[in-house]
Formats: sequence, C-alpha cells, structure tokens
Amino acid sequence: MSFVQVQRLRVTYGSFVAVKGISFEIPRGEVFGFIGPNGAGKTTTIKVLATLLRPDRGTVRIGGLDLAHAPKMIRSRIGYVPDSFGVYDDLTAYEYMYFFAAAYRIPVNRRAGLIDDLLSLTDLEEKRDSPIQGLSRGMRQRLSLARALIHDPDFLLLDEPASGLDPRARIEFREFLKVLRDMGKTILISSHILHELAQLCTRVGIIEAGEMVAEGPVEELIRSVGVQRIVHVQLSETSDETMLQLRSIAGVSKIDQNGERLEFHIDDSQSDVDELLLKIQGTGARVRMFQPEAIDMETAFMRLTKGTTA
Amino acid sequence: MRFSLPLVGKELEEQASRKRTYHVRLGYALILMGTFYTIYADVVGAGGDALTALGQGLRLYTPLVGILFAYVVFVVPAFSSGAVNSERKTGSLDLLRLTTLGPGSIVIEKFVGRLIPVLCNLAIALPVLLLTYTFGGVALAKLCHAATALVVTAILVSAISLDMSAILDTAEGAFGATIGVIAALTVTALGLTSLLPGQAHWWLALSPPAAVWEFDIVGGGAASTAILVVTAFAISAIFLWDAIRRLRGLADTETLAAPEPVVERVLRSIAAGKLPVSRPIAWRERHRRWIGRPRFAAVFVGIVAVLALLGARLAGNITYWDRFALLLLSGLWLGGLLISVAGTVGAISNERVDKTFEVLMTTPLTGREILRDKMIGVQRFQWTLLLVVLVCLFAFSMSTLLVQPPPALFYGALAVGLVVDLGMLCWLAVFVGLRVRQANRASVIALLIIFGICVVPLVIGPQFSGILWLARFVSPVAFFYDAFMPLWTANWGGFHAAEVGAVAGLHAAVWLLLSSHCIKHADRYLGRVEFDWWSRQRRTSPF
Repeated sequence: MSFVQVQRLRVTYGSFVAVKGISFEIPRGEVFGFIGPNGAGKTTTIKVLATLLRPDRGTVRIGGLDLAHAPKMIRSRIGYVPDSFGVYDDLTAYEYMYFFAAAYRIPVNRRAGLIDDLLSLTDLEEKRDSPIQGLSRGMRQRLSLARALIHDPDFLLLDEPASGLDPRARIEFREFLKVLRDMGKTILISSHILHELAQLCTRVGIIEAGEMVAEGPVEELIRSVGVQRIVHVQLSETSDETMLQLRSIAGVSKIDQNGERLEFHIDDSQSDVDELLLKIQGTGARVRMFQPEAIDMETAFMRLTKGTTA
Repeated sequence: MRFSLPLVGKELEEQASRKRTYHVRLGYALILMGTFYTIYADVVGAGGDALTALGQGLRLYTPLVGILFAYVVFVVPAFSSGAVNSERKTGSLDLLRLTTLGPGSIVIEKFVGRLIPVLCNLAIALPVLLLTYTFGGVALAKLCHAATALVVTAILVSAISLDMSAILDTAEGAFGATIGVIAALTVTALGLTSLLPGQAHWWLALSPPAAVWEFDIVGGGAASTAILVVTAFAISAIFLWDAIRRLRGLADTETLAAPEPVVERVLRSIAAGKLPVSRPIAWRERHRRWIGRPRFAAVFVGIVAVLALLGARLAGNITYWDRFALLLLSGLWLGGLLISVAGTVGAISNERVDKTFEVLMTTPLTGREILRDKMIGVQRFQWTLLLVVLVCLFAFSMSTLLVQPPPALFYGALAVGLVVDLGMLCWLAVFVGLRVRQANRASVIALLIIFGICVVPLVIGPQFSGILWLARFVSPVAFFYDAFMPLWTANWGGFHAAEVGAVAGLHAAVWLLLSSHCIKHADRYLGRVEFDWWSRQRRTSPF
C-alpha cells in the first residue's frame, strides 16, 4: 500500500476552484515531484497534506491515517518546509532549532545532541550562533530542512525549496535530498525547475489549472508523451555508407551532422539509449564518444500542459 | 508615463487602487460630519432655532480641530509607516536604486506621494472648519493658525514616519516609533514651556498639536504661525535628510554585513543562556521581540516623567503645570496603548506573512498555547506601562497632598480601570489580527477601531454629557478622563467610585468575552483543519 494516498481532492476558495479533484499516490521511500506552473494548485495541495487546509471533497491518507480523522497523528509524522522557509530572523540558528525542539516537546536531555547532529547534517555547524537574519537563502533553506527533521518525520513536504538558490546551493540541496531518500524518508517536493526534479524524483505529477494532467515514474511519463531523446555521438570515421546504415537503425528518426559530431534523435518508445550504442557498434562503426542528453522533462511538460491557470 | 515624478504617480495610483483608501475616506467623512451635526444639534437645541447657534463657534471648533489632529497624528502614520520598509521587504527598493532616481528623489517622491492624499483630506475639512467661523466666537486668525498647524503637522508626521520606515523593518515598529517621536516632541515642548519663565513660549513650536491649543507662542498673530511653520519645516527637513542618508548608506550596510550593535549582542548573549525548556513562544516573546523588552525604555521614561512633574512643580509655573502633567500621563497611557495594540496585531499578522505560523501549526502546540504565549510580551509591556503611569500619578498626587489627599480607593479604582482597559483593547487587537490575514490591513483596522471607540466618544462626549452620557461606558479614554478629573480639580466629591467600578466591570466583561472567544477558536482562526468547520477565512485565496 502506498504511504500517501490522495483521492479526488478538491479545494475551493469561495467560488474559485483551486484543486479540481486530483488523485495520486506516493509509495514509501519515494521522492515525488509535484510540477506545475504558478497558480496550478501545488501549494494548496501541499497545505492540505500538511493539515493546514481542509479539503472540500476527497480523501487523504498519510501512513494509513485519514487526514479528516487523525490530523494530530499525521502532524507528528510530517515535516513541512514552506516556500519562504518559515524562519524567525530574530533568533540564531541554534535558538531556532531549540525553539522547535521545545515546540515538538523533545526531551530536554536529547535536544542539544539532536540539534548538533542536524546542524552537522545540513552543514550549518559554523553558523550555529549566527543570527538567521545574516544567513544566505541557501543556508536558511538548509536550516528550515533541519528544523523539519527535528522530530524525525516519515514524510517531508517541501514547497518550492529550490527556487532562488544559486547553482551550488541547488546541487548541495539535491545531494542532501538523496541522503534523506536513502534514510527512507518519503518526500513530496514541488518545483517548476524541471530538470532538477527529473534527476531527483522517482515519480512526478504534473498539475495544471488544478487538474493532474499526468502522473507516474519519470521515464514512463516521458515515454508516454512520445518525447524524442537526443544522443551526441562521435565516430572515428564517417562514410556515406556508414551514415546510410545508421539511418536505418530502428527507432532513429533523424541524424543531424555537425562537423564530426552526429546528433541522433531517437524515439524512446521504440529504442532506448543502451540499445542504440549496441546497434551503432553493430554497423561496424568505431565509437569515440557517446553522450545522451539529459531527459527532456521540459519538453514533456510543455507537451502535457496548455499554459492555463485555474 | 503620465507623471514626470514616477514614484509620486506610482504611490498615488497604488493608493487609489486600494479599497482601504476609500474605507478610511468614508470613515473620516462620516466622523467629521457626524461630529459636526451632533454638536450643531446640541447647540441649536430642541427648539430648532438656528439663531441660538450664533456665537457658539468655539463649541464646534474645538472637537472638530481635535478630530483633525487625531487623524493627522494617528491615522497618517498608519498609512505612511510602510513607505520604505515594504519596498525593502519585497526587494523593489533595490530595483528603484538601480534606476536613475537617487536616494533624494526616492525619499522626496515617496514623501510627496503619501502627503498629497492627506492634504486632500484636510482640504475637504476646511469648509466645515470655516462654518465654525460663520457661527461666530472663533477669530479668523485662530482658524488660520489651526489650519496652518494642521498642514505643518501633516508634513511633520509624514516626514517622521518616512524616516522611521527607513530605519525600522516593520510597519508596526515604524508606526510605534513615529507616535513615540511625536509624543517626545510634545512632552519636550510643554515641559520646556512650563519650566522656562517668560511670555514668549518659543518651545511650543516644537509640537504643532501643542502649539495650536497655546496660540501665544509670541503673543499670537502671524508671527506665531510663521515660527510654527519654520520650526515644523526645519524638523521635517532633518527627518527627510536622515531618511535620504539611510537610503544612501543602504548599499554598504547590506553588502558588507554590518556588525551587530553592542546592545543587541549583549542582550542576545544574556538570552542565549536561557533557552526554552518548554513554552518556546513565550520564551521568544520575552527575550526576542522588542515589545517583550520594554522595561529599559519604560523605566527611563518613568524616571524622566517623575522628574519633569516634580521639576514643573518646583518651578512654580502653575499656568502650564497641571495641563502638562495631564498631557504627559494621558500621552504616556495613550502612546503605550497604541504601541501595545500595534505590537499585538504585529505579533500575529507578521507570523502569518513570514509563514512561521504555518510551521507552528504543524507542531503539537495547541492554538490556545500559541495565543496565550504570544500575549506574554505584550502583557509584560503593559504591566511596565501601568507601573510607570501609576508611579507618575502617585508622584503627582503627593505634590497635591498638602491641599487635599485623594482617597485610597481612588488609586485602587484607577489601577483596576487601567488594567481592564489595556487588556480589553489588546484582546480586541488579537481578534482583529486573527480575522484579518494581511499585516498592514490588520494594523490599520485595529487602530481605526480602537481610535473610534477611544477618541471619538471622548471628543464629543464631554460636550453632550446629556445626550452621549454613555460615552464613558464605551471609551476607555473617556473613562480615564473621568477618573482623572478629580485629581486635577482636587474635588474628591466628584469622584464616584461606584461609577468607575461599574465601567471597569463592564470593560472587564468585554475583555473576558473577547479573550475567551479568541482562545476558544484559536486553532480555527490560526488555520488547523480539524477546527475549520466554518470556512469564512477561505473566501479568497491566501496565495
């Protein structure tokens, strides 16, 4: 059974329908990417899962608990990071952590060790006594994540955590989430930075105008929309005969020649990248370079969405 | 661009597009016209003979000018206190600084943009003021002097609040600081005037609201008005120059991460030794938020106030002494009240804006705990304030002891009254803070409501004790005024303990009702799903 089950979730603000009956599931230990343009309903859905907003219709179960009947129990199992991180500027990093340790009623004798561990995990030991006001956005984000982990939750809800971060902070954040995933945490992360999610998530859900337009494992999703993948190849020798043979490989729709480099456009539903390498070698060509482009999540997103808001 | 001053245009368009601008304008017009009509009806009397109003202009003039000053001093800063810090919060200040507009242009255009609507509102009131002249009893020079004082007060208040918004991070803090600066100027003006002998009371020009009641800066006339204008312009220029200087220095302080001030560092290190074992919100309110640490400032103000009172007594300048003492104590109480209200609203609405409430709502803390602990800082501030006011009162009454000592019951009744009123108004602010999601809107609404129930009955109440005798039951200020009067007149026969007790009881009941309602429904108002059975807060999207 999936750890998170959302069935026909509907949320309205007066006459405005923000979420129109979406359903999705997240198996335990998976990282679910929640993708959608601004105003699609991502934050509303996350707020429902964080027990901060009551749905008008639909059921939400987290760890087998029904949100409508056991929100208090659910709260003890979730860690929530809002888009602005929810930090108190007037406290130091250590005080902030201690504040929430007290709020979660963690025994006093465990607090200091726990906070030191979390600050070390998020690489903030050196900023332990610095006022939060002086921390960079990346550090605030890590501090907020450390805070969300203080009561050892099973499920993490991260609302646009990577927005506004510099490339280094983003890569560090990605690595940190991988650590959390390896620790067995189930994670829901919303973002509109698509290639970040593609590298990190095991499953994604694409939401637009309050409706889930696609949901499933990343590879499967890309395959389902028939997105072409591009592979850059360099051969030791390129003759007309070789080119003819390469063009006849099943699944290759087009080959663009750019100097010594060849750009293979392959249809993912018919041929995968590993097969392509074998097939090229099968023609007798000697491969000097073989570089598949990252999965084109953005193309999938553009194809699946229409650019409308609820 | 339609305007050659782009920021002025933007400010005016922004204000014109806000609903609250029209709400305030409507409220302002209603209060002004309502006051005028009620007083006029009282003057004319039951017979309806308009001739009886002749020569009664002063009865109309005093409350109307009072309302206009209250508008300029209390409402104008509420709108101007976010001028710079809101731009800084959204990051648009940096964008403005990247344009060809220099810090000087930004400050001056912001200042003009905020001032124009205020001057328009004052201009609307001018015909009503002129009516008081037509009734007779008010000299034209006095009227011109008051009109000029109102305009220069608007300029002064706008300049101060603009500077405060450049210094402080929050609109609530800037509002409180603006009121504090105006109060300090008024106290200084009255204090120096009462202490220093002589016929020319130059010092009154430091505070236009004080000067308007004391027309004789240099014996009245155009010279008094001119001194008032020059002084107000000079003070405004100092504050505007300071705002420009701060904007100019912003780049250095922000990029070079200025070192923490010594006082902050000391306070931080003291508090660091006391981390919260339980009740973390109460800990933060006590140790971190400014409203939880008022004791240094309040004790300082208290000492200054007592010394000023005794000094004034010793100086023997009876003309201003009693008025100064009354103004000082009322100002302290009213200023403290407004600061604690602004602090209460800010304690709730700012957490909403920063989304820290959302995080708190996912912890095991109950709404009841959160709300009760949030009030700790405010309560601390209030207790200090009460202590200061009561100490001042005691010092004052000791100096009148020789004539006739006040009964012990007086102190008891007054203390109870002050405690009850502060509690009642702060829980009213909590209620507004819980119901209104936007920080600025919550502050303005809370201040307008409290201004309405405090000041309006006070201004029109004493004029019509016959008609609006209920004012004292509604307005904490009217109640305060009633309770204070015997102290100044030394007429203890005028002190009715039973009446004061009854009003205190009524206000206590309202306090109890508000606090129990807020605490009972805290989880729902703060946004917990299991308590959200009545979704009135979700009529519009919070995103």
